[in-house]
Amino acid sequence: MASKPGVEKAGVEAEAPQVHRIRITLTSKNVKNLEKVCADLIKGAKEKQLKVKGPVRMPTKVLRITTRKAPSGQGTNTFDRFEMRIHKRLIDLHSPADVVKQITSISIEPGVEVEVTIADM
Amino acid sequence: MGKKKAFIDKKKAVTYNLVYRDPTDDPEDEDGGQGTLAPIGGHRGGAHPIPDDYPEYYDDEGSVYDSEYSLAMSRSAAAHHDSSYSLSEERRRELLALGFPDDGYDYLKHLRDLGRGRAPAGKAGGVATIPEDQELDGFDDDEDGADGGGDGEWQEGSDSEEDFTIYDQEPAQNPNAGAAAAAAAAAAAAQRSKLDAAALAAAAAAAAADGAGPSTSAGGGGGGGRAAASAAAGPGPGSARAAARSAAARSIATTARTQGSAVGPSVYVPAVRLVPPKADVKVVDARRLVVRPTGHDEAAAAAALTEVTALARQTELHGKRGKLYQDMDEVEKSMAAMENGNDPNRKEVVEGDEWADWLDEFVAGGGDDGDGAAAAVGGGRAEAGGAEDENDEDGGDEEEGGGTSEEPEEYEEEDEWRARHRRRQQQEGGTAAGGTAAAPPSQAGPAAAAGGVGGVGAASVASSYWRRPERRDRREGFEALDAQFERLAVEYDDDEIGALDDGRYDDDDGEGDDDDEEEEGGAAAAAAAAAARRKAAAGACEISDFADVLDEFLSEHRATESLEAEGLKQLQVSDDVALLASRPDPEALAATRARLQRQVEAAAAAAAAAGAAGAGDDEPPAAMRTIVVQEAERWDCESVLSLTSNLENHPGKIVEPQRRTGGRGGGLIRLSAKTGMPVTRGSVRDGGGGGGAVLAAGGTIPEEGEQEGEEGEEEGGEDSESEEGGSVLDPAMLSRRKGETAEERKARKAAVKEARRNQRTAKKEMKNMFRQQATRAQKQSAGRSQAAGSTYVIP
Repeated sequence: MASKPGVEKAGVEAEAPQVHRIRITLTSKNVKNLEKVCADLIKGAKEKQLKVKGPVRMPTKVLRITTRKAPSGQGTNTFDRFEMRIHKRLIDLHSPADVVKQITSISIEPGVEVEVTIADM
Repeated sequence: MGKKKAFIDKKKAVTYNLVYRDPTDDPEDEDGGQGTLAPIGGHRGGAHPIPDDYPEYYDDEGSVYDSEYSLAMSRSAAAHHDSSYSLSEERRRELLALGFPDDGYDYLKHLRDLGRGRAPAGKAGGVATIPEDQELDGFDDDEDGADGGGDGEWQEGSDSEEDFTIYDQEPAQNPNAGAAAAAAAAAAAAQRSKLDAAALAAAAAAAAADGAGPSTSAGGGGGGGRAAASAAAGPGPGSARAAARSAAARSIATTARTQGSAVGPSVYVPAVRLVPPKADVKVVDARRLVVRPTGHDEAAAAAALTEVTALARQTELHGKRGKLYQDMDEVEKSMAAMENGNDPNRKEVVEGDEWADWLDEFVAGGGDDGDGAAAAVGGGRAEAGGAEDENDEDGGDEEEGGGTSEEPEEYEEEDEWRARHRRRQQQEGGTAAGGTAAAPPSQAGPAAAAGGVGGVGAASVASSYWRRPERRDRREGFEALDAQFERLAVEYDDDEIGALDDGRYDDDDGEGDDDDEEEEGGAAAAAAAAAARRKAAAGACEISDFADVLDEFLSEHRATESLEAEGLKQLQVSDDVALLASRPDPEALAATRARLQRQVEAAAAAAAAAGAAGAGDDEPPAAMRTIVVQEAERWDCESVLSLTSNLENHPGKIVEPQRRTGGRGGGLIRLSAKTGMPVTRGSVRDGGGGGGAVLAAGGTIPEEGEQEGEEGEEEGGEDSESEEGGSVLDPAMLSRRKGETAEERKARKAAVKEARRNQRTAKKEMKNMFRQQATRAQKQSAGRSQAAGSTYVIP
């Protein structure tokens, strides 16, 4: 008998899933895909009535490589300027972990790296 | 102020990476999404800074991928519960040694040893793991290739169970003792190292029974490695060998690795005892083989020679001999005919009729010849096997096609094809189709020619429109279709083809008829009616028929226009999700309601107006079922700010102005002594750069001051000065015109000098004025401390 209320209690607690603070970090070289994934995630989260913040856009990191065009040293010094831009977005949520898994499993675009950080509470 | 509590404490958080997961990989997972959250190793725990502080991106990436791989490996290894797939440490080590990536997949199962052939179906296949100690020894077990010829008991089937090893040297042993022991060893068949000895022992025993000395012992040495060594040493086989193996034997090749899936030895082992192969005699009916006509070049002839190979199928000579003779006669005759007509000049439009005739005949299957041909074809097909069937059909079709449409340029193609076909047939060893197809028509010849042509004539009219190369293979089916088409075409042959019974065009017809009949005679009326019907059939109609469509469009257009006027757009199908996403909030609802109300009123008004006009086509707008949703997105400050591009927007935090020297009275706003403007950090920073602006800003003040102080005297001068002060920057003055005379140059330079002089005086005045103002302000703020700055009191 003593165990039963314990069991019930455990069951009740399991029913109300614990809400975690979750931060989703999205990075990509491609802004369009990144924005699309962001929008999808936020839309998904709103559908599930989660508290969403974001997307917060981090400053773009630009990696520049400036090389000389000429294979040899001869010639006017013309330079090629290559750059790669890395965009980063953050989305903060308050939700249970499995809901987040569902949301993130739906929309994947190539080239977008998604990281999910769940604060243990 | 300090940093507010971070949203996520990194030290206590778990980070996952989203990894693409193949949907076929883990069917047990329920969400069925494309990605799965793979936990990154605990290295992320506290070692890296928080993302808000722009961490080192690439370090994270590198570590992430490492962990991904390891995770993938463990996952894939776990997925395969089959024992043969599990990666033992040994196997894994071997994989790595061979250079395969370490991802949990057993690449060795795709490998095989050289000379071993394919792995038997039952086994796990692939390369077995060599234990480390064995790797360095070389190949241990031996294989006996020499004894296979002579012994009946040693068959290939035994290979799958037994392994054989070839030994390098054999120690000298007593054959007989070895034989006895080996016989005992033979009983224990399954042993790897012993069974070879058994087989060898059996061979050796047999050899010993023969009594041939050195050769048999060498033969018993059997698999024995070096020919010279074995011949010379003549050692005994058997269990002695097994003992010797452990002692000094070094083996060359082994079947142990593939569990004896050998087809042949991986190393050439010269046979010690030469055994003649089994009698390999086959009886081939060469009459069935068609050798290519000698008219071709030598290369072809040489090639043709090789086509009559030992692999040619055996034929029954006695069964259908009579039939064979007949067939062969026919074949020969037709071949002669073809060669004569075909060969020397391909451009000749020769034998087209003949071809056509007997091909048609063949197709129609007329008479006994046709049946015979069909039977022979069937028999030939059965003989030649399934693969030839298609060839036969192609051949038959092709030849039909050759008959029906005779176009000269296609003969070459056809001959080529026929030659190819013949070659194919030769390889298969049967020319049933080609030969017999050729046979009956030549026999039937002229008799069936007419019938054949006539029979096939109906279909061929349409068939002649075909382009030959494409539809060769489907000729037969199309024949029937063509016949049908011809029949239909006959039906449609009359001129009245456009007659329609549609009620739509009846009125026109009727009207046309009436009019025409009144004016003209009956025949003319009929003709006119026909003409009208044809016109209707061609698609001509009056615009009034489509009146209702136009009205519909107009009403719709009005509806969209009214919506657009209000700045809202219609709901598209793609907006469905937007509909879901944006919850209806009360103000939007109210707005919508109000708008709908207005719409209804407008519709009522419009209906009233329209009703008066009598146009009943307009749908009342209230009946419109367009739903317009205003996209109300919730933004928070961070997101809004982050919308601007990072190229221009470098957001900085707004902080409270902090006094470096510590607060001491005077309030938060201080005016600078020089400009009289409030001092902020920005203005202090830009003091150097923004001198011009300051000057401009301050320009008003001295004017004020001067108006206050010195009003009358210098006003005129001031005005002139200010006018000329601006002239230094005057582009008209500064730029040189192209063709300038000396006087103009002098005048310009003089003007510039004058402007500069004026500017200098103006500047000096301004400076003086500022100094005066500053001292005045200082005097005024004498009571307060200097550090608090000076305030400029504007009277």
